[in-house]
Amino acid sequence: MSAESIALATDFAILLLAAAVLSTVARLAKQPTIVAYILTGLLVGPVVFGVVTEDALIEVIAELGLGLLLFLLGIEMSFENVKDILKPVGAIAVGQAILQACLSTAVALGLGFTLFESLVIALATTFGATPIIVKVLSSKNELKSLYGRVDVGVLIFQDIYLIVALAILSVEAAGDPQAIALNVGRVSGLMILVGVVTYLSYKYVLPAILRASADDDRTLFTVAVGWAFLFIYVAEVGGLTVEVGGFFAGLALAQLPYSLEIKERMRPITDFFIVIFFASIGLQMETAQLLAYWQEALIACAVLLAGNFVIVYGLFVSQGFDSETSFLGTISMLQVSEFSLVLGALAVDQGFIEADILGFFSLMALVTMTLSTYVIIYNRDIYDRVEPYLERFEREETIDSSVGAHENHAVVVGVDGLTDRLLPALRDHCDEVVLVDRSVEYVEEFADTGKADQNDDIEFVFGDARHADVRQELNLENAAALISVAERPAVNKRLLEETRGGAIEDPLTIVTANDPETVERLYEQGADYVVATQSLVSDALISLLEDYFENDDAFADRLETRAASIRGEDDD
Amino acid sequence: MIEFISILTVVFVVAAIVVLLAARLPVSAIPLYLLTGVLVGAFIDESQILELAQWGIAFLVFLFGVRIDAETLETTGRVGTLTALAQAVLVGGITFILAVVLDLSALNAGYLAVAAALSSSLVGVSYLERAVEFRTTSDRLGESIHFVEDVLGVVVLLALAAFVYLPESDEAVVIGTGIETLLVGTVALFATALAIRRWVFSRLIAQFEGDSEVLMLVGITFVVLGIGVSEAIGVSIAVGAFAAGLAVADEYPYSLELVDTVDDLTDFFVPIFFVTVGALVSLPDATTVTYTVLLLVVVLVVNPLLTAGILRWHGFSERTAVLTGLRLDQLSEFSLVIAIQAAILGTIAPSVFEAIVLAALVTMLVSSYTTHHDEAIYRRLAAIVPGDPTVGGARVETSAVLEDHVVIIGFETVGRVLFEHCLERGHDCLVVVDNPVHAEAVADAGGEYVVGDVVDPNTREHASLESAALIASTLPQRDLNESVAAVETDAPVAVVAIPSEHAEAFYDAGADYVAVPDLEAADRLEGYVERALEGKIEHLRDAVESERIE
Repeated sequence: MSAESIALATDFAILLLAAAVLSTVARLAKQPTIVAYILTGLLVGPVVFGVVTEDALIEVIAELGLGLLLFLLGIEMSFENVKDILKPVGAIAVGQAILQACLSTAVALGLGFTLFESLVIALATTFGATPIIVKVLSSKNELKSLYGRVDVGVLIFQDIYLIVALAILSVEAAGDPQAIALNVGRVSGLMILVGVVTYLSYKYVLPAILRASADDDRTLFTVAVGWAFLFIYVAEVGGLTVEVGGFFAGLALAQLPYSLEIKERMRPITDFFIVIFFASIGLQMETAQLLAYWQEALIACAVLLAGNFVIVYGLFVSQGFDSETSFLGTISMLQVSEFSLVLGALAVDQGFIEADILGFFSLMALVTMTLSTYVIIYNRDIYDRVEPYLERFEREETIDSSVGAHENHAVVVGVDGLTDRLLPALRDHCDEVVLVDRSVEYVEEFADTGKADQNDDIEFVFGDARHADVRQELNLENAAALISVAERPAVNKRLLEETRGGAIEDPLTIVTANDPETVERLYEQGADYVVATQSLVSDALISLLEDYFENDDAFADRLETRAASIRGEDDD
Repeated sequence: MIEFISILTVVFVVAAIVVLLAARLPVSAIPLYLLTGVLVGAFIDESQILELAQWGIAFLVFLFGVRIDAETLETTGRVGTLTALAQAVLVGGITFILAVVLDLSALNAGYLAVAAALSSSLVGVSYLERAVEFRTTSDRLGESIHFVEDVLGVVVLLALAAFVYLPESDEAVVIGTGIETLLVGTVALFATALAIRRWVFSRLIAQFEGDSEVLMLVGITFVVLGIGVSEAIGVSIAVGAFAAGLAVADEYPYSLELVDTVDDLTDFFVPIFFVTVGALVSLPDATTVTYTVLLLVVVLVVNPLLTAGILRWHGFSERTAVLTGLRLDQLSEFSLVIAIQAAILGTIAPSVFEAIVLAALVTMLVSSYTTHHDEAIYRRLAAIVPGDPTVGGARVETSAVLEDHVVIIGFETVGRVLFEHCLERGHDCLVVVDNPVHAEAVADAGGEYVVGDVVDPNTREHASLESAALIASTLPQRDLNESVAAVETDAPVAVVAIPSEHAEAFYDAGADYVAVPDLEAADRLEGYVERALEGKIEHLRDAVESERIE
């Protein structure tokens, strides 16, 4: 025996390596990484080199990646974000499903497929590719924009009827209406159950669990992973998709103050797994199949893209969205989901369609996903060009719903004696003070009770400022003042850069450092004042010493003032 | 696949429950993961997740490689290295002999010896929570000893590959690897890694600053490459991952995205690894219990005492020696890596393997406790064995008794500044230090020192605390400062509180003045901030300017 027998899966390693190299190249060439990941799958998979097959580990990791991506999405979905757009989203989702299905059936029939095949094609191509949309929108930071929220809402609706479709197709004795009804009933019941459990745990279970675990970074992380896996597992066992499980697990956390930190801690592992997910899409394809219906697939792509654009855009406008939101929302959803492959494979198993049609799905998914990644990335540039032609369709009264950001505010990173003392001045002069800290005790102290209380102008963010998304939540570009007592020099550097590079001219910046070298560096980076912990202590002790030898009154005064200020603190 | 997900779900849900239940206790997460493994071992098929567990090893060792920097070894490095080597050789030797007496084969006795000799840099890291600048002498000593022992762990892995696994291997002959390939390959691997760190890494990484997705992939690429090379030359994947870590520098400011991201990934795989290891343990029989007890006695008793003895012999104070010894009373995660690899290859007796895992579990739990209560344990010991402080400086030569002198406790940055100030102004002063290197520096500058601890009555007497003019403790350690504050003397006592929440306890203990950096900063800034927010930021800038010129 040699070390070979305990080798890590070579397939997995090769896949990762290829993905890393290709995405690095993609990033240097300013191309989206998702395209690089899908290409990786094609390249190492059967289509080009055929060195990697989709083994069990890759399959599981891909699946988990999808579950975790939806978990993060669920976390972002706080109720406020969706409640005022729930109705239009429902209308768009239903309308889109029916109209697109009709269109796809017609197109498929026109391309010479049988009626049965056409129906399966219609069913399989109605879904937008959730992972692509979520990933690209989140890297553009537009998940919370109006169009982003509408898209996500529609995708969730799509997921629900995807599950129903899977339930119908997976019945052993195809065509037995009783079995189908039973299966659909079972999944629907399970969905409702998961929903209820989510709500109950958000209300009664999670707050206590998270409060107990949030003070320790690793405990919070382990608990969050355990929570996500529990839902993913239950969904998987119950015949729902991992997506649904992950989404509900995240949703239960969304309303809680710890969600931002959890999301940021889970992001790297999700990014890691989702690479495997995208690559595995490419891995599932085979050249022979891919080319079996290539002309039909390309024609279908073109016709459906145009047709679906008209359908979805029309639905958006009819629901009262302005032309920009409608356009951005529509073009994000114009792709064929990887689930078309899953549904297609099921249909092949049941003998509804021939295996070659899978290639048709694959090619469509591949082309539309790649195209759509670029479209979403450059969506605003495209909109600027077509705006004049679209505006005439806009309704007079449009829905306006935005999630507010802080402005003319002070950002305080870390709570300690210094920030405590500066707080009154900051509250006097700024509209709002945003406090960020990693301790649970402040969560309750500054909790937003909804009632008018003395902390109304203080917003507390639970999280570590080392995460880019936590810093983004602080809206540093528009901050009038930054006071940071964060320990890590690199964090202070980023905070400084982001505050000073922002819209506010000459913001006040105060940061902390322990050693002289870092103090100098932070001054060079533009800090107005650097709290140099060590030299403050030395200075204090030296002054004390001097007063002791030179000036008895001053010495006594020093002792008294300090003792009073410490003792006084616990009177509060 | 569903089975796979169900195993992972069990692992994480049970681990979450266990860490949650222990959230209020000062226990490190790792023994809790091992415990989870022991608990769920009967219900899951751990061989399914062995592959993911290996990723846990790889990331863990990779991060260890990343964190190595030249500075770690500078101040106490030489002493730390010597101590670590002496301790490892002595403890390992004792264990080996005892194990052979217990009728174990040389190889199995060797596994036990390695397990006893190395201690964990993951469990004994409470000091990493303290900012580098405020670490105590025992923090630094502990850090460098752990570091040397981790390197020893890597060396053992290499040696096992070269001398145990390779000669027994059949495949090695087939694929043409031999001892030469292994040695040349390893040297080339490390040389390449160091060359990348030195010349390539910063340039590569600067391209992607702030792009955490690509940086994560870059990190993973290094790990995968390291693993690939190590597999090609026939050494443990841990060795390859370590070399990969060496190639990546934990450098300001890139660490924020790259290292933190890999850190977050590690947090996912580490529980899988330790739970898997725990799950491999079955109900122990008499032999396993015997080996476990042997390891427990050696690691919990012999190891700390021996380490403390060696440090005392080097000239460190009793307190520092004992506190450092208490950081080394647990098994290393490297021993677990070695054990699990040996178990997979079938070269370790099952009872020895199980003893190592069980001993790791117990010692890591005990160690969390002893690290948390280290000061109390030291004080108990000090009450039994009175201290034997060393005194030095000009006074020894003149044998004059010091009076009205300033006593400075600690000779880190603040202590040094204060000491130099006293010399300059001609105040008599005496520095209480715990490190012979500091004592030498004080003496060289013409000052007085006592190597000892204020907790110890003998030290207090030697430092003439009763007749001192002023006592200033410059170290921000809570227990130390509480005992300084409680010293019976007429002299005013000043201590430092970091974080500021400690200040009140120090006043309660009897301190006359507490230096609190937050408050010093607040005193200076309050007026300026007010004015800066009114639009007159130049006042603050002018003040800073003049202060910095000073």
